[in-house]
Amino acid sequence: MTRGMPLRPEHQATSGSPAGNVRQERLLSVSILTAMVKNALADTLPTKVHVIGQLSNFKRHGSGHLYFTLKDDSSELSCVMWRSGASRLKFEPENGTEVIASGNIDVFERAGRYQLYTSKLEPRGVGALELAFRQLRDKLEAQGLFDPKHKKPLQPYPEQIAVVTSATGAAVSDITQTLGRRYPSARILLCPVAVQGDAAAAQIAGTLADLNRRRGELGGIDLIIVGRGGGSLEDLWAFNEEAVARAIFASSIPVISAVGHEVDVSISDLVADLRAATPTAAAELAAPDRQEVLSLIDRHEATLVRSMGHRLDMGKLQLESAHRRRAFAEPTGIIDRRMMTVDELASRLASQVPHRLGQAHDHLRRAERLLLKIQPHSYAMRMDHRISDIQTRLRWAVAHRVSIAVRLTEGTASKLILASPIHRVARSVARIEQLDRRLDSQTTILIQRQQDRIESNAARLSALGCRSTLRRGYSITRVKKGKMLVSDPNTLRDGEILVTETADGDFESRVVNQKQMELFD
Amino acid sequence: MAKTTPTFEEALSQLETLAEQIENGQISLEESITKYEQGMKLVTQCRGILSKAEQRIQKLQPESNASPDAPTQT
Repeated sequence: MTRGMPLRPEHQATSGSPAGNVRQERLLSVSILTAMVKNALADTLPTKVHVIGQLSNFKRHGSGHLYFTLKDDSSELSCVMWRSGASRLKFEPENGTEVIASGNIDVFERAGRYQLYTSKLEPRGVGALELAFRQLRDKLEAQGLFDPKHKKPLQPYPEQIAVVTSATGAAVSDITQTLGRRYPSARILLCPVAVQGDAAAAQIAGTLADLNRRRGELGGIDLIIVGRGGGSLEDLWAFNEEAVARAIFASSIPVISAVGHEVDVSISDLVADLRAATPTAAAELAAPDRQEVLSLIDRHEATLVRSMGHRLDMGKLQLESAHRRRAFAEPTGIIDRRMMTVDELASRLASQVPHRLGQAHDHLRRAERLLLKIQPHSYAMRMDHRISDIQTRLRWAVAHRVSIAVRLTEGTASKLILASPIHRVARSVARIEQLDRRLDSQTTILIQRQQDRIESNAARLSALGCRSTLRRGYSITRVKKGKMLVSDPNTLRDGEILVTETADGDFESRVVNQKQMELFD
Repeated sequence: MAKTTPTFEEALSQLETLAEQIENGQISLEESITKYEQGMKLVTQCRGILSKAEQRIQKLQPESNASPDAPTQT
């Protein structure tokens, strides 16, 4: 594009070109062709075009620029909208929306594409504000902000009403005048705010929040009227802002919204507890008419008087009817009736007495008969027998018990005697004597044994002593019985057996004739 | 002060209740008379409130300095 270029290609006949049989034309670079297209478009198209189409491929880039395509049944058009234009959009573009895009057509060389550089984008058929209104309305409705269940009832006789509107507009005087005429008892708290322009929404929302927060400090607020007089949609726009809608919804004080004229419906109207067509209408809804309340009081008063009179009449009637009753009309009647009762009772009594007496007699007779049956004499006899029987058993039992006791006592006594010290000493003495005797006999036996042993040893010793003598032919003769040595034949008796010891053995002999021996001597 | 004396609304609804009670005739004559007297007093009171009132208009003042959350004061 640096060179000035002829738009008409020059036809030159050249032979042997690589294009061969292609008609010889001047070769163009992509850039040059693109520039030619750009220029051609700029020459032929108006600088600003307005295009109707359906939004598609809508993209909001991170940079804030918008890219989208406009299309109809047969064609598509690439569009771009710079951030500066995009920020002024009053509605949120959505795919499928019929829009009117305004701007200029130009070629985007790098992509080889022509585009509509959009400076203004409006929904077709409705204005941007209208669309924004619909969009916010749909959104808040979906969130339930318009739900009737959130609508608070208005106090029927408000004591203080806050009016949130412009200090200078017609709305404020409409409201104060209407209230002053109809219900001057209500105090009015004016809260001046901007109702149009950029700051309006924030001011309105802020004031609503303040009133709720400072409710007590401000002496109680029963109702808030928020609104303004008529104007264009742009003028009323603050009342279609989300911030205002949220503040109205958040208010615990009931809110009447009155924006514009009858035909205008704002988002505020939809969120508010009550919608008034105009500020004057809001004032009429806010409080009753004093005359109406006065006539209500009159009615209550009339009811009071009428029903009190009625009540009194009724009382009088009751009194009269009570007065007319027999008790009062013929006072002796009561006494007469009582007398009759007494008489009747007396006669019943009289008839009852003989009957009762007869019954008593019967009882007595029956008792008598029973008594006779019992026969007191035999009864006494039986009793006597029983007593003596008991006596005998008693005696036996006592004797038995006594004998047991005696036996027990004797047993105990003998045990006691045995256990006495005298007995124990005697037993000890006897034992000592017994032991003494045993000791004596044992000692004697022991001594005898020792003597025997000594004797036998002595005999053996003497025997041993004479052994050598025996070898020489001597012998020792003893009496067999008693082992006495025979040294004197006169000591022997006839038939006595003797034992004679020699060196190589013993033999026995019998005394034949003791006298013969004497002779022999 | 709103707490100690009944509000207009309270007074009016009380009056209405009293009127109904006497009208029903379910209370004793003595009670009726007491309530009637109360009712008449309320009638005078309510009428007084409505007839004497002159409109009072105040302008919302910005919050006092003592208020802890008044950002413009700091």
